[in-house]
Amino acid sequence: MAVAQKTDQDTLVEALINIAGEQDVVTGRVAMYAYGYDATLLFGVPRAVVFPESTQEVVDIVNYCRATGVNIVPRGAGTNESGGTIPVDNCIIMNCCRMKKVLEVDLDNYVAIIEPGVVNYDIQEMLAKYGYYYPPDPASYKASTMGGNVGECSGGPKCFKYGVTRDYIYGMEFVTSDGKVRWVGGRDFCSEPFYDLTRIMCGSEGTLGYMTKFAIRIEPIPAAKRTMLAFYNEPVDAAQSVADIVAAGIVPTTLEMMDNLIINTAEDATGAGLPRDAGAMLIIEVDGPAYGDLDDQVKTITEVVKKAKPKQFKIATTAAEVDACWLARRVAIGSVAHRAPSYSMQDITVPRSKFPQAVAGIVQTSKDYDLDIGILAHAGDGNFHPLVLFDQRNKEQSERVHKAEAALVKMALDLGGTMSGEHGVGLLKKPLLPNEYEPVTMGAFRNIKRAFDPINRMNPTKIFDL
Amino acid sequence: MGDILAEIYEKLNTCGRCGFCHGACKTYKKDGAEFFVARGRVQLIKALADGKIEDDHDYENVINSCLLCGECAIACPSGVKTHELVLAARRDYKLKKGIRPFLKSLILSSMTKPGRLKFVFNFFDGFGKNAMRRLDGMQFFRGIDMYTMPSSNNPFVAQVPEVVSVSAPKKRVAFFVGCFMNYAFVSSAHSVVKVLTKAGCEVTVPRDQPCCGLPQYVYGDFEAARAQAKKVIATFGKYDTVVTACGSCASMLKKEMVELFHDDPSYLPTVKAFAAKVFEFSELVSTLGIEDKLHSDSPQIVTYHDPCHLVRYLKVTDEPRKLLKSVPRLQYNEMFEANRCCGAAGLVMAFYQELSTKITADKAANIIGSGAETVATSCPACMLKINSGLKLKGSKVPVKHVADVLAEALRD
Repeated sequence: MAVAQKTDQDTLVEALINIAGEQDVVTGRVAMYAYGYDATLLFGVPRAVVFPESTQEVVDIVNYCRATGVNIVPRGAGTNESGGTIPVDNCIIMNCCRMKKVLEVDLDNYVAIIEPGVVNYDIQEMLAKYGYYYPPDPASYKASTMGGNVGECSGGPKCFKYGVTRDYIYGMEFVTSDGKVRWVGGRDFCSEPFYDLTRIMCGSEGTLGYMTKFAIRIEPIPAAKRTMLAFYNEPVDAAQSVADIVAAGIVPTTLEMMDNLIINTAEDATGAGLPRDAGAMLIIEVDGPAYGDLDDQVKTITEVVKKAKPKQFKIATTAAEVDACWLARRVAIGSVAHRAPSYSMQDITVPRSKFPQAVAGIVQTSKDYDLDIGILAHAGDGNFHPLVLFDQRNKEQSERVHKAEAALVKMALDLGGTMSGEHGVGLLKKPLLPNEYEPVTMGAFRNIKRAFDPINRMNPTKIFDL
Repeated sequence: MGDILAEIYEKLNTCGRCGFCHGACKTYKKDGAEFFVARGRVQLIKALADGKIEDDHDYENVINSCLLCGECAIACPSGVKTHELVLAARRDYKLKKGIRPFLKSLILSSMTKPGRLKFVFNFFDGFGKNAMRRLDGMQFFRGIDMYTMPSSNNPFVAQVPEVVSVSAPKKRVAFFVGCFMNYAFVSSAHSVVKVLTKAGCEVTVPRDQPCCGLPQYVYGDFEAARAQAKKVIATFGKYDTVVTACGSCASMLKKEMVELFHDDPSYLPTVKAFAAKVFEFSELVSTLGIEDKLHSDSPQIVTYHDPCHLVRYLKVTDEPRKLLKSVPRLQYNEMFEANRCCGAAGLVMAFYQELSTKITADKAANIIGSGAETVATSCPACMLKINSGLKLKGSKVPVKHVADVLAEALRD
């Protein structure tokens, strides 16, 4: 009787099952295909997916992978826009979804201790009961895990006023490729003495270590909020309002801009009654401790917006009206699917004062490459998400899309901006990174990577090659 | 590429993989498996269409574990209706491989044969329940509470006259009982008749009560579902108004049945005409003005669970709530996430019981959290599953049909 030879794959799966348990290891062609993609158009196939449920399991898995030369790609919900979780050669996916305990909520110190698999929305829901919240709110917040949010240093509509993920992580526990568990940063304080390793870990896209625990800063929900909606004839008018609102000394929670194309796709998706002929729309939201303070701000914003001669200006008075204001924004990205089967989303950011030039630059790029490009922007911090629409199956068009992407990045860099405001680099923007940084800076990045992960086991080939 | 997958290919291609469905998909929420979320299902159906994966057992689990609850479609900014794409994939799978496993195909075909169905329920009520009671640890079989699962050795239709008449009827209606009510939730069926007659309706309960065809339809056996539809229309087509108190049957008779015959122009008008006269119980009763006939001396707190087929397929949500609130001394407490699936989802509760039971646990927690003393709903499958979920948590909150709550408030 022939004895079946045990393959490398069998040995790997057996080892993972021994560590994490049968329920927490997934293999098979169908399942591996499902872990091959994220929100980009990239694709790869892992050897197995493992769901560790404790820091110790993470350590054991990392030790095994180090000994056998298997790469580790961390993954949360896989909603990233940079290819950060796309499987690489000879890798397992380490998924944080099943480490989702909230370990502590300490209202006295505005801190919560959580595991990486907790979904952003679930934190909000849990904290709302106490009248607290966690400010960063990426568009994917109903799906994305905190592990993913920290890995990518996610922003969101509120980040103009409240900052990004990095500003809300006091400290964290992570496992490096040598199998050691490390804690960096503090638990109750924004800063600890000496090198701020917490801030290096935030946005490291899993290249430095696998994060297993976070101390996050939480805050009381602002008592009052006012939401306004303005429609303009031209995007440049909206850009003018953005500049004027900030110049008037107001820091809105949110300043979201959508152009004509996105207004129309959002209307296709929702039928909410948006004016299809508007050139741009702006969602303006201010919040604060009491309504009285906000009334003055609303008055100033109203005057400023009127100066730009909007087609329509509305101040929401009920919760339902506030919700209606946000509806279009929430569906914006996905709604472009009503126009074209594929989209490429950029994340360029320019100084706010260059906002109108960037709008003009995107419009020009659209003409130059004969592509539909919708503009969606966190206007307050100059962060644009131009959505280039195309059909992936059309090779010639896809080539043009790649050229347009490069042109958009160049435009942003020429205006003194950056290629990525909040989505990270991953694989998608890896080729473009050297355009932004001097070789000496890229060298410094590589040295940091080598200091944490000298054997290049954690999410290798992402961001840069060693 | 199969023809069916080719037909839906552009719809599959509309998914932009943004992952916004993760928050909506109950089967994903349980253990975070990407192949059990709407995005994963769509991408895998597309991968099959592209010839990148095989339709093996893993693939079958991907498409058959879907609750078809439709929640993902509401969350999807790209307008992808995954539940419809999964249905098409099940149809494709059925045509290529038949319905598997054998047990599932046996159940589905049994539902089309009243004699066999009656035998099964008789056997369970007599021998089965008794045997299970004698065995330790058998109270919860596949997440279903066997001790309190209702079953009747005498179907509802055998307990009532064919025509339950009233003096000077305002309306004449035919009652489509549905298998679950006819064989298991018999007392709720009695409540339906009581409410309708008290509201001045003459109720006809045809002796022949075919399965509505939904169970066969959702597993892609369109041939069997069409045959059932024709049987239903042969029996019920002659009445002016047809009422059913099962959310799933209501959806089949009003909506899916029309879709089932969309490519049959000769029969489609008949189906459309029939569908137009079918009403879900609360839809019909809320037009009959029974509010001033309701009496209740004791206060009670009630909450309502929306069956998927009513809230997302037929969009009936206000009527049952309004009826409940019209009962005197009844305090209505809305539960958290009332419109989310309870995990029953037809045969999903039987074949993916672990997944299904975890989903029901969330629903049970929400019911308990609402502070309600009774949970009302409009679908026997939800009633069975929710009752079991509550019992597993040690709760004594009873599950009732909306008709039961109303019937209790109507004096004999």
